[in-house]
Amino acid sequence: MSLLHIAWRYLWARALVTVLTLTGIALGTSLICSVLTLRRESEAGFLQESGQFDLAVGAKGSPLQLVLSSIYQLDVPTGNIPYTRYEALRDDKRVASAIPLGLGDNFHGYRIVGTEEKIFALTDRKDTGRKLYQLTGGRFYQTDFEAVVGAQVARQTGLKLGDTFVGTHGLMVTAGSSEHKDFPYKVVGILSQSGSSIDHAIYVTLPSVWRIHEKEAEVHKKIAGVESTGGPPARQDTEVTAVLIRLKSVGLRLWMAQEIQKRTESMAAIPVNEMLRLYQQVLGPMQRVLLGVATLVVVVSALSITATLYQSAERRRRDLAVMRALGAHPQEILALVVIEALLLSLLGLSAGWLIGHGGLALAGPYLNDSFGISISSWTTDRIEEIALASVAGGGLLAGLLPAVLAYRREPVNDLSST
Amino acid sequence: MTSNPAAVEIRDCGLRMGVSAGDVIAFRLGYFRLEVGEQVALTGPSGCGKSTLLNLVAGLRRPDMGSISVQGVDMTTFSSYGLDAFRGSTMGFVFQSFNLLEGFTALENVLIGMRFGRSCPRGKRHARAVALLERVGLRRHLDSSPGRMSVGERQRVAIARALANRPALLLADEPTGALDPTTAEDVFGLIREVCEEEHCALMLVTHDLDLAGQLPTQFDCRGLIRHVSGTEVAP
Repeated sequence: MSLLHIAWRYLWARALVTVLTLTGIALGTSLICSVLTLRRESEAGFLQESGQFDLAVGAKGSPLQLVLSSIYQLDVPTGNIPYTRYEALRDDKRVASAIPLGLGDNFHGYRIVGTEEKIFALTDRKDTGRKLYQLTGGRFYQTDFEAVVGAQVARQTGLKLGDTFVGTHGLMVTAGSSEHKDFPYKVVGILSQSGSSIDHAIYVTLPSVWRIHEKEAEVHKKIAGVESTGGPPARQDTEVTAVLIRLKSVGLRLWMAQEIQKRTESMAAIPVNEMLRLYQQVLGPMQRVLLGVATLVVVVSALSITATLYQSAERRRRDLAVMRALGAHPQEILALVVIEALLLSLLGLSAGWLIGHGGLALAGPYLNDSFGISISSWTTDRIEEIALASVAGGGLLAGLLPAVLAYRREPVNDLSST
Repeated sequence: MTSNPAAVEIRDCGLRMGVSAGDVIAFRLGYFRLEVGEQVALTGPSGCGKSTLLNLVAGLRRPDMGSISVQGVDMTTFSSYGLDAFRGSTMGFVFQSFNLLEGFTALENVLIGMRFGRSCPRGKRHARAVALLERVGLRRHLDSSPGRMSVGERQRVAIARALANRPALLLADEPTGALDPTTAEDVFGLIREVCEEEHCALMLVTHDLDLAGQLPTQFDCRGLIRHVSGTEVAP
C-alpha cells in the first residue's frame, strides 16, 4: 500500500469532516474562479467591443453616456446632432468608416437602431475577415421599415422572419408609452449570436426612424397650430443620435476628438478610454471586494484543513505510533499527513474549479441575456492559475503544522498509553 | 557482530526513568540473552519493568548506558532513521489492545505492516498477507474491518501483521490480556506455533503464570526498575 492509498483511506474514514472541509475549499475556489473569469470575460468583451470604433460622436454631455448608449445599447443618449455633421465626418479624409445611428424607439425594451446598411459590412478589428453582423436567417434590410433583429431579441420576443411589429416611443418600456401603430416593421433578417450588444438591438434604416418621428412632429405641430410642409424631411433638417467612427489610423483618435470638441457643437468620446475608466473606477473596486471575500473563504478553508488534520493526527496518535513501531520513518509520518492535506486541497480545488466554471456555463445564457456578457466559461488564464496554485500552496502549508507535530512525536508514549 | 549471534543480547543496560524523593528511579539489567528461535515469558508484577524491557529491545526507547543487540546488531549505534528501518524488518509486535488501524481491513492492516517493514518484496506482499491471515484462521475475514471482528479475531490479525515481515524476533506485550481464558489459550497457542513455523524468537510479557509456564523459559522482571544512586545510571 502506498502512502497515497493510506492517506486516501484515512480521509474517507472520517467522511463527514472530509466533505465539510472539501466544501469550504471548493466554495472559496469556485468564488475565486467565477470572479476572475467574469472579470476577464466582461473586461475582454466590453473592451473588445469598445475597440471596434475609435470615436463615438454625439451631442455634448457625458462621454461615458455617449459610449454606453451608442455602442452598448445602455443608458440614454446625450441628444442629437445634425445629419450634416455626420456627412462632414463621413467625408473627412482621416475617417475610414462612419456609421450614423438614430435612436428613439424600442420594441419590448430592445432598442430600434436606425442606421445605414454599411454597418453590416463591418469586420472585427481583432479578427479581420470575421463580419460583426452575420445572419442566421433572412437577409439584411433593403428598404425602409424592414428590420434585422439581434439574436437575443429574436429569442426573447419570439420574432421570426416575416413577422411584423411596431415600435414604442422611448428607449425602454415605460407605462403609457405610445406605439407607432401606423409604421409597422417587417422582420427580414435575424442575426446570429455574437455575444455582444449587437444581440440586443433591432436594426432598421435611418429614414424609417426619421419618418416615424416626422409624423410625430407633425402631430405636435398640428396641436400647436403650426402648418406642416408635408413630404419626407430634408436631409439638412434631420438628425442622428450618434456617429461611430473608425479612423484610418488609431493614432489620430486624440487629435480628432479634440478637434471635434473645439470646433463643433458635438462631442467625441474615445470608447476604449471611457470603458477603461469605468472599469478602473467602478467595476475594479467591486471585483477587488469580491476577490477579497473569496480569499477570506479560502483562508478560512485552509485553517479548517489545519484544524481537521491536527485533530485527526491527535486522534490517530496511536495509529501513527503503531506505524512507527512497524518501521515507518518519521519522514513517512510527515509525508502521510502532508499528502492528506494535499489531497484535501487538490480535491477541493478541482471541485471548486468545476463548480465555479460549471456555474458560469450554466449562468451563461442568463448573463448574456441580462448583461450582454458572453463568457468562455471553461477557459483558465494565467491569473487564475496563479490564484489556484496559491490555494494549493495554502492547503499544503495548512497541513505542515500537524504534520511536523506528528513527525516529532515519540511513539513509545502513545503505544503504552493504549 | 559475533559468529553465533543471539536473537537478543543485553549487557549492563541502564535507563533513567525519573526522580522520586531525591532518588533516581532507573531500569537496570546486567545481562540478558535470548537465543535464535527461543521463546521466553517475561513475568512480574505491574510496573516492574517488563514493558520497558520490551520497548528497549524494540528500540522505541534508547538506553542511557549499556548495549542491546538484536541478531548481533548493536541497536545503540543506529541513527533514528536506521533504527526504524531495522525494527521494521527484524521485529514484529503484538499488543494487548491489538493496535490495529481502524478504517482499514484485516488484509490492509497486514499489508501496511509490510509496507513499512520493507523486508518482503512488493510483488509477494499480497500473497504472503493472505497466506498469513489464512494461517491464523481468518480466511473469511480478509476484507473485514477490525471494528466488526471479535477480540480474538482482532488479535489474530495483529499476529499475522506482526509476522508479515518474517521477523527474527516477535515482541508480544500482554497479547492475551484482553481475551477470555479460552480465547487467550487459543491465541497463546497460535503465537507459539507460528513463531516456531517462522523460526522467530519470542519475548512475551504476561501476568498469567500458567501461560508463562508453557514457554520453555521464564524471565522474572521483578527489580528491573528500582531506586539507584545517581552514579549508577549515566544521565
